[in-house]
Amino acid sequence: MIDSIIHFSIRQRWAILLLVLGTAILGAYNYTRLPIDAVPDITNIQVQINTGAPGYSPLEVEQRVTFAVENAMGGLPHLDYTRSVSRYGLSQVTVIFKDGTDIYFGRQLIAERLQEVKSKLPPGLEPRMGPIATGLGEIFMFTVTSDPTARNEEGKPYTPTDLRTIQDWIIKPQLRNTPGVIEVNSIGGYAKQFHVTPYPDKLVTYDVTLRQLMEALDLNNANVGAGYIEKNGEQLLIRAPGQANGIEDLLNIIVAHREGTPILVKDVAEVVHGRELRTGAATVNGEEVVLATVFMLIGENSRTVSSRIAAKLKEINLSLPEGIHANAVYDRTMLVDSTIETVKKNLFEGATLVIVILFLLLGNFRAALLTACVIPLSMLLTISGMVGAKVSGNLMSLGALDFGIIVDGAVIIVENCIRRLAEEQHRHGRLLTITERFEIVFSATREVRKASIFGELIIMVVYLPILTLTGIEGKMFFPMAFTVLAALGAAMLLSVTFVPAAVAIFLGGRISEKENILIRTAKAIYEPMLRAVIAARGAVAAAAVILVMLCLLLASRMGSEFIPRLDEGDFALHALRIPGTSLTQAVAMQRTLEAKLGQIPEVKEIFTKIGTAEIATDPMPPSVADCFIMIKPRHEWANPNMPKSELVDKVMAAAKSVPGNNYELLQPIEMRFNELIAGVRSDLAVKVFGDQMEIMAETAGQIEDVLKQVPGAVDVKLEQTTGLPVLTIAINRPMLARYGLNIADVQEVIEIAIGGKEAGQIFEGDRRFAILVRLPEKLRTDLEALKRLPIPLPQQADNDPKPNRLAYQPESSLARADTIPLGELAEFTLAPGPNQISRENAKRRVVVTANVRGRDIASFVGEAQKRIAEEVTVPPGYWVSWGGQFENLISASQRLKIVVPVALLLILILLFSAFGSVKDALLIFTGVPMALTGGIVALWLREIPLSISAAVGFIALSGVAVLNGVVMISFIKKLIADGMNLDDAILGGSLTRLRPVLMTALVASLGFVPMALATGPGAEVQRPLATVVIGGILSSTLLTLLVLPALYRMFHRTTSRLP
Amino acid sequence: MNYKAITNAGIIALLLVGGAYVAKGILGIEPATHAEEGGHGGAAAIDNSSKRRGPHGGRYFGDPDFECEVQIYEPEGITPEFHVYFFKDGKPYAPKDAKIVIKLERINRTDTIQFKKEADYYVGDAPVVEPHSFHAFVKVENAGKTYEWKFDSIEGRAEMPDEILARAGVEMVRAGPAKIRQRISLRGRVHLNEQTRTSIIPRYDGIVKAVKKELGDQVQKGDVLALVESNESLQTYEVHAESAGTVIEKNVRLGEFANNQRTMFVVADLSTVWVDFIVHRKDFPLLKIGQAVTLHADEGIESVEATLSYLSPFSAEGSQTMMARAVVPNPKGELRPGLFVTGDVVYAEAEVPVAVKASGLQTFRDWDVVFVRVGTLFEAMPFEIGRRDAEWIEVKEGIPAGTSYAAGNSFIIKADVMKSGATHDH
Repeated sequence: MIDSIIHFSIRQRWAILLLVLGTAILGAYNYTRLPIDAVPDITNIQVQINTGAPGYSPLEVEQRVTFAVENAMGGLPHLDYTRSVSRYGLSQVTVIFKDGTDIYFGRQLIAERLQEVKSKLPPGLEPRMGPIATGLGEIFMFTVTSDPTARNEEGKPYTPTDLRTIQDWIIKPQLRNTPGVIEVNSIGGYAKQFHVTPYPDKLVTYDVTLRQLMEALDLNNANVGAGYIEKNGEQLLIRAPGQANGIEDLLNIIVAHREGTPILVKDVAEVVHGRELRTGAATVNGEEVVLATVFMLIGENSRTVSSRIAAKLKEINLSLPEGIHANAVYDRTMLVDSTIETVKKNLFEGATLVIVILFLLLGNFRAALLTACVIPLSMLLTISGMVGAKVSGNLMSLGALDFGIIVDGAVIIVENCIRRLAEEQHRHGRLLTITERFEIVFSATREVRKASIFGELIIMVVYLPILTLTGIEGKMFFPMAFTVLAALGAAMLLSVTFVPAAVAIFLGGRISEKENILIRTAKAIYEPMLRAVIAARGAVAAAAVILVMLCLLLASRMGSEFIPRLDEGDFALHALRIPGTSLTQAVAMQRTLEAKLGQIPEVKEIFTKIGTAEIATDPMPPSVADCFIMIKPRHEWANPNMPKSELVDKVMAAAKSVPGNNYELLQPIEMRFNELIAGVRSDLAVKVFGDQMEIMAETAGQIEDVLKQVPGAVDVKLEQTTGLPVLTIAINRPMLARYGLNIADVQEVIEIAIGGKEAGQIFEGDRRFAILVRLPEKLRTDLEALKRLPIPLPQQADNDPKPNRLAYQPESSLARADTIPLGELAEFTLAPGPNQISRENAKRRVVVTANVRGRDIASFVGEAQKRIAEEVTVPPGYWVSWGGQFENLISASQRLKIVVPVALLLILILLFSAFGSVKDALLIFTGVPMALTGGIVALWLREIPLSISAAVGFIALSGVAVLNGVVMISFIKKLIADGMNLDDAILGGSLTRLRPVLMTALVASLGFVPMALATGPGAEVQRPLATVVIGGILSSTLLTLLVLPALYRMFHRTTSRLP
Repeated sequence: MNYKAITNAGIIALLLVGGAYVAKGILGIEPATHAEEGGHGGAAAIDNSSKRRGPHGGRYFGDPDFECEVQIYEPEGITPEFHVYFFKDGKPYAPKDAKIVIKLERINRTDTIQFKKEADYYVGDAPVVEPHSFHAFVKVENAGKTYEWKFDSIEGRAEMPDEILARAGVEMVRAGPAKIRQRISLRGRVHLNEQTRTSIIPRYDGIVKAVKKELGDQVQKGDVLALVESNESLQTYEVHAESAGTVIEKNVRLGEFANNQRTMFVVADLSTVWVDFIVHRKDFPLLKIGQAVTLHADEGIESVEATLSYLSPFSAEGSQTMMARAVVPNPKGELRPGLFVTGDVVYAEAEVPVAVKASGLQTFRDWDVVFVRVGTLFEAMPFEIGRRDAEWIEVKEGIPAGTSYAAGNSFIIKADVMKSGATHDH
């Protein structure tokens, strides 16, 4: 069949070229549609349900909100599991669906359930689903800042509240409608509020209660419509506006009457532009600002969306008041562009090197050029394939493409065609006729196509195990495996269609078959070596075996990392403070940190999100800050070649010199992934489920102690569940009874006075702001003042006959009071309380996590399970469950145990079908371990751990080894079939194949030199791969040229003597 | 052929030997680890032996022929003390006259603890006071042999050089004497000073012939207020002021019939007023007659000093409140009866030998602490709180005078101590 394809391609060469051109144009079109992002998306299918519960402590949030929401989610179709976290003022339930579930379907189901649950929640609380986005969704961030000289409407410098108002009412509405944007999430500044701040003393003086104040505000701030009347044929609408229009109106609202005198709001309170009790803040380079994160809709192209946002932002800037700027601080476009840049560079350098090497070794520029054409063509075909299969382009998938190896098949074919054409010309002593030429091209292609196709098929087969990975690894590596497979397939297809067709068209003239000096020298060196090796074949075989064994030993002693860390260029530094750190304190500490980090010359900009944003996509307490450190492009560094690790050390050293913070250094996208797939990233997670937090924490503490003692355990961590300082105002019930008060009367005062309560809205055009009744700020924070908070006593009608009235009550000696201070009724105690309450599958949970180093994870888990069962007593009603990455690793390794042998068997079958001889198949197969030796040594020399990208390099290597082996052996066999004796056939075949073997080796290895030395984005994927390939090519070439002929001679001893 | 085979075999043997040698080299390579190095500078290198644990959960030292376990015995409700157990060949062993001394090198002092025998163990003669943060030196003399071990137990400690401290804006203060004024704030209402109020009633009924003083006029004792023509004598007589003061009530008009049942004028001296304070139950015991009270009335009225002159023996039923009264000078008349005012009463005042600033107080675990500094080290030091006011806290026990501690911005120190993962490990 392949023969007929080749035949057809040569005959219909122009049609083929046209077809190739057509697919190339299609590929170029598809390139504009290809979703390109920096890294593969590893987020699971999840929906966050956030319920803001202002003022609720973690315990109340869990009891009254989380529990209800979570229970409603039970039994959803395709549900994997639910987890939740209850923090101060926020309940977040995350529903995770099984992979492959349609996210819109899932959200629809959740929306239905949420409808039911609303009635069970405390009034006023509204559960909301988070934005439809993945971990890659945070593609754009910008800050809203003002020039120091800019003045607001009141002629004063802009306040954080002004900036937030501009963000909320000017910028956000415009951005939200940009196609591809699902959410704009603001943090920092203060949402503008009108605060009515009563002074407790004045309330007492005028005998006004907080409740009366609230009611008064409520009754004096509304517009009414009253239908219409008809008059003289006209219809007149009636409205009676009564809304307060600002501070002045609010001040003059009447609260009570005292002896004919109205008591107004201004008599008992002040009205100010207040600050909300915010849960988050943002800073840029040490200044407080407003920061917004733009979320991209699932499945959109981050490059297009973020450039759209950037353009829109530029437009919005024109509409902002003078002196106000919205500046992009994080733009995914840059990262994506550099990803594309990397791929472009690979393409270009690969093509250049191929052309140069082919020209040097073939001495034919046209042949070199048309071989190099295979690189962009297969790339374009691959892109079409990726778009079709909805695989995104990223550093993993595109960065790991090795064009040197991809064009190998084409190189072999072109080389053979040239050699044959030149030979024929030489033989005939004239130019060939068209038919002769086509005949030669056809037979030359046919001669080696088996080898090239088999080589490529084998490489593809070796990739298959990667496709069977699931979970995070699967999501991480599937795009890579798919892309390589697609590129190989495309190259394979091109090598039997485009290559022969192009050779037939373009290599018409005189083919110079001058063996250039390089090849001649190589042959002169090679021949004596080959003879010696064949003579001492036993020793060669033994040396090969020993070498392989030594390398395997070496490999077993090398470190390994499963998932490589993709360099995003910038850093994301988690600054962790002790639970209970206030937002103001955290901002102050963050400013010190930013000032320190800003001194690093390579740092361009630093911005930070502290606490939780408006939409709680990432519910952090105020004690945690996400600090983004944007790095200048390398060429602006003092030393552009400084390794990234050195910069990491610099950043960490600077950060550690700032006291009071703990750090975790990540990268922006990496951090987002961590947040979204929280709880499953560590190797092992022991979860304790139960009812009482104290008992669970104690059991978990015991488990932590045991785990720490199991050999191989590192980073053993107990989830921090307490430590949040809580001021408990414990109301004394007997006291209440004395005064005839209800608990709710006291609680209401506490709630309004300290937390504040909304009493309507103020409208300013389209903008609306809440009116809040709350104590003045300086009293709110003063514990002594809070203790004096007046609680109104029940009104006692004077004419109320009291049966137990004292016999004698001298009015002149009495000081009656209508109120009683809160301190009389309640104890104020400060004690640590629950920090957060985590739940999983609708049950309280405390988790202990651990990683495993230097030990097989399965045996570790076995021992840990046994020891915990023996040493930890779990109280009845409580249970322990095991989870974490290890489940995945175990299932992956079990799957690989089946898939890898199957793949190996497949290769053998392929080889067997190529040669019809098990012996030859096995002979070529022995080449694989030999090829790996060079790769292992190279990795070891560069101190690079084994990783998936190194594994991809090994895969490619095996392919090259097999490819060359097949080419070599099939040639030798052909010579034997032509009647040559064994030794001559081996010698002649090997010498003839020297050039293509050298060519493929040089193309593949030289093409990788820039990658091996790379420092830019994608380097961490490319470096191990390139290192393996360069090292491996050396050993593999030696193998093909020296060991393989020796082995062939060794195992064909008997057969050679017979004929 | 034979020769060749021998050469081949020789080469192979050589390869094998070489291979084995290289393999040995490879086995010597440690696998690369990529674990981040944890820990913090706060804890000094810990003696390896102290990681061993004995059967009582204490630290375990020594060789099999003489082993020693040092346990901090701290069941709930008992002050922690050292228990020392001995073992010989893995079995409990209680020598009669072992001499044990444990020296605890703390951040600011060294405690020496002697031991005496009790049951099958030795017990320390002094409690191991919190914090359990020290370098411990254990010295045991038994049967003519001397053993020395050391172990470290460090908690609540962080290192902070001067420059970082300065950048963090932490204010350092030394503990020392201070005057603590304990005060409460009371609400009260201005009343007339009833003692100065006089009501003027005409002695005889009659017709008012003249009114000499108007509402608000200042009068002296004996000033004529009005003239009344008596019905009985038809004589006009003078109505005099009985005391000096201001006319605050006037119920008389010219030509009106004055009746000796009706008050004609009320005169009161407003240069002093009564302020009746509302005292809530919890504050009853704090107040005594004679205590100074500072009055604040806001709205531009100057603060006034006065003393409590009367504590009512009654209390109001509904609000369970008592009345405390102060007679307050009112020279400008600004304290108008009826106004609400606030009074601060200093109910206790004391010079204490050691006090710390309230801004330095932090909680660490369930202790009240300040972070004291010795050299470049900070450590959480628990202490017993005595009296306190808004600015100062008396140290009853736990912090010697002269100790340098963090006052302003002390939270930074707490944050730094706790982030380094302080452990309470015995």
